Amino acid sequence: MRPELVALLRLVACCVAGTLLSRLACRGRAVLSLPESGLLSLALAVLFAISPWLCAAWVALAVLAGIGDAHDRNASPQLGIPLLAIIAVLYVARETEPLLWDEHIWLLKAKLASLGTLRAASFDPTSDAIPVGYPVGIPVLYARLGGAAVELGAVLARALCLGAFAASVLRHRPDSLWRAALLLVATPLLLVHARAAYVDLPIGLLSAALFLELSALRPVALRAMVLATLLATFKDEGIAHVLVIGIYTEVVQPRLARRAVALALASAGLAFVSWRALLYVHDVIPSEHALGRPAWQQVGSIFSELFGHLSDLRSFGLLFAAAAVAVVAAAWVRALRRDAGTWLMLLAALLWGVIAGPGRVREFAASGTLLGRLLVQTAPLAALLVARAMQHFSAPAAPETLPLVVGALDGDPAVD
Amino acid sequence: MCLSELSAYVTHGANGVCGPPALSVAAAMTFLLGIAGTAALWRLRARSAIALCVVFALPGWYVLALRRVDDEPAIRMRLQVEQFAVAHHGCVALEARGCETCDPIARRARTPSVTCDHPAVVELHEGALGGHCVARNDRLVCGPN
Repeated sequence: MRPELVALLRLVACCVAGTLLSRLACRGRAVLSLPESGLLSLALAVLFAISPWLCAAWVALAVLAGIGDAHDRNASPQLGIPLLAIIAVLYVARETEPLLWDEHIWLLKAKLASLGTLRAASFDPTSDAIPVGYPVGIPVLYARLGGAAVELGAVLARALCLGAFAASVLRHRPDSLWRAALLLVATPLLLVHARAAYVDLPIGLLSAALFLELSALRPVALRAMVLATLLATFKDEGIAHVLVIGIYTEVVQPRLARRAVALALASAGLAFVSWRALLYVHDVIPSEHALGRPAWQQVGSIFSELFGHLSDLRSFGLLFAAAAVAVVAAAWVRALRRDAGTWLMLLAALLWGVIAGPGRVREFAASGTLLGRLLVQTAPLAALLVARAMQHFSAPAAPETLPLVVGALDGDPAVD
Repeated sequence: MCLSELSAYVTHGANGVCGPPALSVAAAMTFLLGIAGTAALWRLRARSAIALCVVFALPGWYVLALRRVDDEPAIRMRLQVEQFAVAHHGCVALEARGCETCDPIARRARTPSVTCDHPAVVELHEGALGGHCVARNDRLVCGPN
C-alpha cells in the first residue's frame, strides 16, 4: 500500500478515536473539531509513550474536564473538508527532500519513535536522540501519523495544528479569520516553516489556539487540555507558552473560566513534571536548556540581535511592525489589551529563557540560529493581535458602548 | 541570491529567509517606516494597512520563489551513507573530520544504529556535502581527503 494512503488511514483512525473519546468524556457532545480530535488521540499516544501511568492520570483529568464541558451547547466546527484542503496544500508544498538542520534531528527521532526505541534513546547520552533528555512529543506525533514514512507524518502533524488553529479562530473570532490568514501568509519565514518538519510553527499555532480558548467567556477545558499538553511535550519552551497564557488569563479572566485554566495548567504541568522526573530517575541533566543566573552583560547584544530579526522584512514582512503599533494602540483601546499583553509577556518569557539559559543558548542566539525561530513561535499570536486591531479600526464609528455588546456576543470578556 | 550555498542553506535556512539578518541602519529605518506607515494607515483606513503588509512581504516571497539550492549532492551523500549503514546492519560510527553540516544528515541516514564492538566508520571530511563518498572495506570516506 502507498505510504500516503497508510498515513491518511492513520490520520482518519486518530480523528475517529479522538471524536469517540471526547464524546464519551463529554456525555455525547461534540466539543472538539476534527483536527482537535486527532490531536486528542495523539496527545494520549505521546503521554503513553512517556508513561502509561501518566496517560491514565491525564485521562482521569480529562474525564473531570468532560463532566464540566458537557454544558457546552455550541456546535463545534468539524472542518473535515478544510482539513483535507490544508493537507493537500501542505503535501504539494512540502520539501521533497528535508535538508534543514533540525529537520534531520526531528525526523531521526521520529524514526526511533516508529521503531519504539525513542524513550530509551532519549535518556542515553551516546544515542542519536540529541540533545539528551529533550521532550519526545513531536517525534511521536510524526511516527504515529506517518508510520515508517515519518516525513509524511510531519506534513499531517502540521496540518492538524493548522486545522486546530483555524477551528479556534472560527469558533472565537470568525471576523478575524481572513485577516489573520493573510497576515500569516504575508510573513515569508512562516511559509518556509510550513514546508519543513520544524516544530516552531506548530508550537505557535497551538499556542495561539490555546490563548483563544482560554480567553473565551466559557472555555472548554478538554480543548485547552489537549493544546496545553501537546505544547508542554513538544519542546522545552512549550511549557513557557502554557504558563504565560494560563497565568495571564487566570489573572484577568472572570471566575467562570478558571476551571478550564486550572485544568489546562494541571495537565501540561503533569506531562512536564513527569518527563522531568523520568530524566531525574535516569540521571539525565538537561543542562542545554536549564535556567540559571541571568547573563545581564549580554542583554544589550541579545536585544540588538532581536531587533535585527524583528526588522528583517524579507523574513517577517511587516507583521511585527504592525504588532508594535497594535501594542501602542492597546494603551487606548481596551479590546486590544489582552492580546497585546499576552504577546508581550510571551516574548518576554522566551527572551528570559535566552538571557537566563546556559551560555550555549546565547551562542546560538548570537550566531542567528535561535531568535528568528522563537519569533516564529509568537507570530500566530501577533497575527491575531494585528487582525483584531485592524478589525477594531475598520469598524464604522459607533457609540462608545458598542464594543461591549459585540465582545459579549463573541464570548470575549476582554472588551468589557 | 542568498543561501545559495548548500551548507549555508542547511544551517540557516529555517532562521531567516536569507539566513540570520545583519542589523543595518537601512533595515532599522525601513522597519520604523513600516511602523509609522501602519500607524498612519490605520488612522485613515485599516484595509490599506493590510495591503501594506502584503506589499512588504513581496521581497521575501520573491526570494522564496527564486531560491533554489542544488540539493542533489546532499541527497546523494545521504543515500550512500544509508546504503553503507544497511550493508553493515546499522553497525556504523560517524567520524566528523571537518564537515559539521554533514553530521545531522549522516545521523538520519544511518538510523537505526546499533551498538556493536567493531563498527564500520563513515568519515565526514570537509566538503563531504559535495556528495562524493568512496567505500574502502569497513570505511566510507565522504568528501575530498
